[in-house]
Amino acid sequence: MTHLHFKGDNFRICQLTDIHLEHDRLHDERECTCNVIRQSILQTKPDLVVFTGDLAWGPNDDKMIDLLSGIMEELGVPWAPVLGNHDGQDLLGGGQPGRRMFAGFLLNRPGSLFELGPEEVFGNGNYTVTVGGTKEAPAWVLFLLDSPDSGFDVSQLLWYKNLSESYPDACELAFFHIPLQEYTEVWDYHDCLGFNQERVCSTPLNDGLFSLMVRGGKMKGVFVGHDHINDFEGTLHGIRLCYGRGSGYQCYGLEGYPHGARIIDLSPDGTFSTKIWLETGELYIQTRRHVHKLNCKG
Amino acid sequence: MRHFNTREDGSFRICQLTDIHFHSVDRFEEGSMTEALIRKALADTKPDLVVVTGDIAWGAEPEKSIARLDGLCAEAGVLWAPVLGNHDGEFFMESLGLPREDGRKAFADLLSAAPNSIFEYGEEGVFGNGNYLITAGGTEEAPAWALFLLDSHEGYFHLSQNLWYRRTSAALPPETKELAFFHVPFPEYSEAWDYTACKGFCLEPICQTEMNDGLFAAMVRSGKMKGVFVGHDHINDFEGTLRGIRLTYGRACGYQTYGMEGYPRGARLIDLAPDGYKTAIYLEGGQIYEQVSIRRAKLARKHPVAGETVR
Repeated sequence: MTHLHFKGDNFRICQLTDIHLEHDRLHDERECTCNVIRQSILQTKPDLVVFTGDLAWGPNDDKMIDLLSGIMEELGVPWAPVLGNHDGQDLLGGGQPGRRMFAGFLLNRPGSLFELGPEEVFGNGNYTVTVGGTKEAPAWVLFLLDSPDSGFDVSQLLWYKNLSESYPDACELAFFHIPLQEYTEVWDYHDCLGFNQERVCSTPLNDGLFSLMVRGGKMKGVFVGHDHINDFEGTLHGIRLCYGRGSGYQCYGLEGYPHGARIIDLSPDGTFSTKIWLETGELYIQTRRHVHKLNCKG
Repeated sequence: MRHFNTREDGSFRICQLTDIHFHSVDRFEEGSMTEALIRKALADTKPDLVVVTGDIAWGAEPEKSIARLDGLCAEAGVLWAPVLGNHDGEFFMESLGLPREDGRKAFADLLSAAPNSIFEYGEEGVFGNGNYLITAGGTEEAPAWALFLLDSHEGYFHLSQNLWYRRTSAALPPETKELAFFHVPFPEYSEAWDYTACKGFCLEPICQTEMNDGLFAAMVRSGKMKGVFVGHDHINDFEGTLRGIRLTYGRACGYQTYGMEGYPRGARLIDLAPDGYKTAIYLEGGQIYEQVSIRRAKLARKHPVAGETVR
């Protein structure tokens, strides 16, 4: 677990998602992705970069993580990755062995805060980064989770709950790859900001992680990726559910929907604001408002 | 834990009563109608067990209401297994100012004391009043059927209940078939109604738990759960199947509470057999019918189905 400090009264996180670096094809597109990574970081000067999964695909994942690690070393910013559903799919026949091998590529990289997480917790890379305050009593705890295709494992729910209770005074954020089913609920039944241009591709089952977060009372925001052309934000039971902004070129996107990143500015007082950075250099607060169409169910 | 033997042919009949809402003071006449319905239903259908899925009594003197129900079961010579509804225990909170869980505990004490009730408080450390297991058929160690009765509070499940279900289910042999009974439907009832073909009526919005606490996911993962039975919404009685689990409402039987013109009160019958179960609706007039009216799903799938390729 790494502890990071505020510089002044702001701590800036740059969320990059679905960069999908691939070794064997679309080399020009790969250059574009590397450019988005470099420019978003150079222009917004974050204190931490979080990669919410789908970092690489194809059989040469290790070379792509070498490339990413090189860029991050050159920029000198700490980075915290989580695995996406595609990460490790072409290694050792995919599945958990492939994911474990992929996770190994992320360890011991300059500036990488990645950890495998406790042995008894399902997945590869359930870990925390704390920000502000002291190591024992931080202002913020960032939970980074491996989101399995099939939904969260109960060991991950318990890991979150127990760790959360051990920091009674901290505010929390969570970062992982696959959106919760509640992302559909917030879009259908509440007013949201930003784009929803493809169906929310959540897990088939809801294992109750969101409800634990609400009951804990400290979770302020959740940040996911997975759906490349969704970047909306909505608030459900007091938690802001946000997508990142798709950053990768070697995968699907949408004409007229520029690639970018999400910027998250934390305050020591437990509030945060968030903006979208675009490859054009624009940095804006989302205002495109979607008014929910359905009546509340619950 | 209570174990029941099935009949010789392996059958076992459960009568689910829901939202009885006995009131000892208000609308007393209508209480007699509820009483008559329960008496007739039990006499006509001769169940081996009565399961009461919550909202048993409201208003002052709930002990009188519980005695009334207990007397009806005694008369029919059948035991009853209750779970608490969101209104149960309300009287103790409102009139005596007890905190919610204490009020519900006081109500649970009444259920526990009723001579024909097989209510259990449940394991220490599992949140709520009345999370317990009943088995039927086979042996106590390897039952044919396991019935999980759960306290759905005022509309949520605690993580400790989810963990209790998981470990209790995991300890049962793989061939045991499970059913669950509780009061407030979980959000998958809405998903079933919106996105799959269902049988029966949905005449009011599904008043589900406030959030999705992952209990349904745990049931799917266990692979043993066959059917879930709830109440809470008095004029819904539909059944739909989601990811292999039949999600079913009871048929409300209380007259001292809201209902709807032209929607007769009744009960749900669940007939267990060695290879599965059938369910039917019993109506106040004595009619018993299997639900057939199929209402097709109107909406396209919301959440991906299991096995569907994810991006």
